[in-house]
Amino acid sequence: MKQDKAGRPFRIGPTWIAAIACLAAPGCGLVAPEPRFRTNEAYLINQEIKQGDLEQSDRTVLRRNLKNLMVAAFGTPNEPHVPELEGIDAKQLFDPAKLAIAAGPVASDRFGAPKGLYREHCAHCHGITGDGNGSTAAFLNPYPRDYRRGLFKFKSTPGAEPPTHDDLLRVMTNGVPGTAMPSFRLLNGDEIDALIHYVRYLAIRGQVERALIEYSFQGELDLVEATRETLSEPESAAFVKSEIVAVATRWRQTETLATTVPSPPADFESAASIERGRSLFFGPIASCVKCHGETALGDGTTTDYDEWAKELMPNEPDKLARFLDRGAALEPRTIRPRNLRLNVFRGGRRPVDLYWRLHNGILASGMPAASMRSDGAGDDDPRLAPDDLWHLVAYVRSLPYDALSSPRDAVSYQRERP
Amino acid sequence: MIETRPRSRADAIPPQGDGSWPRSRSAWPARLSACVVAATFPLIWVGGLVTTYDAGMAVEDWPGTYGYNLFLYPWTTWWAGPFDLFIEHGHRLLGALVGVLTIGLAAVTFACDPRASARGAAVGALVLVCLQGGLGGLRVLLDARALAMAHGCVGPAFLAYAVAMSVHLVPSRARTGSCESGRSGAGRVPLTGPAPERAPLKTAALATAFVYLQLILGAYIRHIPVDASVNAFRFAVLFHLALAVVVFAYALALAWSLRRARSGLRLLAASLGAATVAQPGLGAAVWVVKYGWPFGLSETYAIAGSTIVANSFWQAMTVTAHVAIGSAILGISTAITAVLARRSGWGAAAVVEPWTVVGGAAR
Repeated sequence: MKQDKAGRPFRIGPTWIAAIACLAAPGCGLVAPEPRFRTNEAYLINQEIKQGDLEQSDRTVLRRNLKNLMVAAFGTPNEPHVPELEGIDAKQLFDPAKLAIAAGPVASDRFGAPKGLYREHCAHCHGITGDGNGSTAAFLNPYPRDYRRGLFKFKSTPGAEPPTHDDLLRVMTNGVPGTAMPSFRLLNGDEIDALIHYVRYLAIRGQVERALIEYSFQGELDLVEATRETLSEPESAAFVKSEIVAVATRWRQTETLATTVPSPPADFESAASIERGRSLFFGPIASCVKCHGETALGDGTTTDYDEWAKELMPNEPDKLARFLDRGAALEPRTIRPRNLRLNVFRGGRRPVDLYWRLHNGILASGMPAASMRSDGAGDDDPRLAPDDLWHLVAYVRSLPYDALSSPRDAVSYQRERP
Repeated sequence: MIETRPRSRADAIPPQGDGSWPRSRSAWPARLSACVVAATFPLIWVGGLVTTYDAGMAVEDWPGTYGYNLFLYPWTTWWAGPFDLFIEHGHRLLGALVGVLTIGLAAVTFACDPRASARGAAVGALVLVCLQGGLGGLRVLLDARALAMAHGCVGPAFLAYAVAMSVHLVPSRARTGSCESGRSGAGRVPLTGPAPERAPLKTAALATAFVYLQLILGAYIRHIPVDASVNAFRFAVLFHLALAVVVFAYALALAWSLRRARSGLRLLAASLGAATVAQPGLGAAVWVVKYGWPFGLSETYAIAGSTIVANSFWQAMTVTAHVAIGSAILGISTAITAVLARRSGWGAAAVVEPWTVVGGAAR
């Protein structure tokens, strides 16, 4: 055995291991390739499960062709671009100048004008592709938003309509309290604007990618047999472009779809208003109690999944395993209805914010839109009138100040003295 | 009496006829070395601030600043300019100061300290500071985040090296003097003394190694590639947490074992204990200001409404303080290790003065 100078036997002990690790660690990972957009692996698996599995070689070809089409249409994370779209003022959706500010590596010039804002502020959670699968995502609850479906929670538009520019601006400026989504109020307006354009770009890119995957599995676009030459033909480009136009049109039109909020009734937030809201909360039409629970602590139904998780088929373990084994998604979590007594509402606590949440629902997370009366319907219509929504808002806003120690139907467990 | 063979000819300068030595070692290398340490710590702090604000590319050229020589960049533009530019250019200036001090240290060491080990250490410091400057420059020229990580790892390593070198260069009591005259100094706290038990030295060395590994992990987490996988970050964070427990245990054990040491060492141990106790709290605070409250705490009434503010002052300060305190822990544990090593006779010929080893004449 080798010996040191003092004649002691030479052994590789913890000191040596620690020292070697210290010296070797900085050398690891020095070579980092340029970031690329990731293919929507989760949706590919979803479509394979639904439409039939592909051969490994076909899957590889499909993925490669899809990637080439997407790069041709949308560019790369360092150089994003969008083709000219007929009939749409694309500059309103994704201004190339603003995309250039938000995209690419982080830098700034001598005047402090920044570049790479998305990578500086968003990519570590939302991912370079906007898939909500950034490196930090596993630790965050809720998971960061996956933009690629074009679904957003806190917005003024109904149903699955995309958010307006102001909706995105509101979330970015105020942040989402109680979550990892920060407020970017210290950034200037142009910087926030650039980020909004880039988020929209990623969302539209993701929606188009999903559509192309779907068309491929439905046979309308052959991405398995296609070659680089056939994909570069004008027909292919036109097909992709028409899909971009279709998605972009929805985003342009959404600016006019914000739900109009009527003025609140004169007795808004009076005792009578709150009492009316309470009865609606427990009533069968609004039926808020079902998920938010009788105490409004968010302890009602909690076994459902949001739209992003549903795509992973979480109730079928074998299918879910396919997504997780291929690293296509994070472990799905069930929805947690909001504890309304916290006085914290993630989409904003202004009356108008709550009105929008009640009127439009939070579709993606399972909160349904209110069942509203149609125009001209009489009082005999059991569905909700705008004033009813305001009363519900009043009740929800009163909940944090409602003494939980004296709930409506409190049962006394203390025996009365004889 | 300690019998130790001199390591080099320079170490073995013989006494004069009357038993005195021709000149004693100067305190200037140690003083300059202390200056290097004192300048390096704020440099690491500012470097942490550069990473926190993602300002590494605020100046796109190197070694100049927007076409100017580094030292000639108009200070009014620097002070009144964008904050990113302010901290990046400030970091470069501070780095240059450390570089100049290290050059000075090497020159003074060669002039005043005949020991080969001291001269070798000075050259090593020069090489390390050049490597660090080069890494910083390449990080800018190649815009490579991975190089920024390496730059962030070598910085604390240089601090540790400078600290160890400072301990090495401190002359023992009653034998200090100016470089030229050989006058004796007095009243210094001795760093040499009876050899302590081996256990604290081993604990100190291991604690230092673990702290450095912990800093590397921290640097990886801060510079993680933008397209890194979920598992890469998860592994790094969990490893960082596990290692934090190990570092905590080792550092506190070390501090405790030195509670009855001499005052200088005891002060270092107390500082190590304090910094080690503060650091996990800072780490938790970093998580909260960056990613919010973990473990469902955000559902509790007191903090449910908390909103993270990106790039806020407190976010930047908390994150940067965690980085800086980490480096401070490394520096302190390195100092303790070096002092203990010196006292225990590691590399004795390089440490113990010639007049203390040859026949004991000088004593």
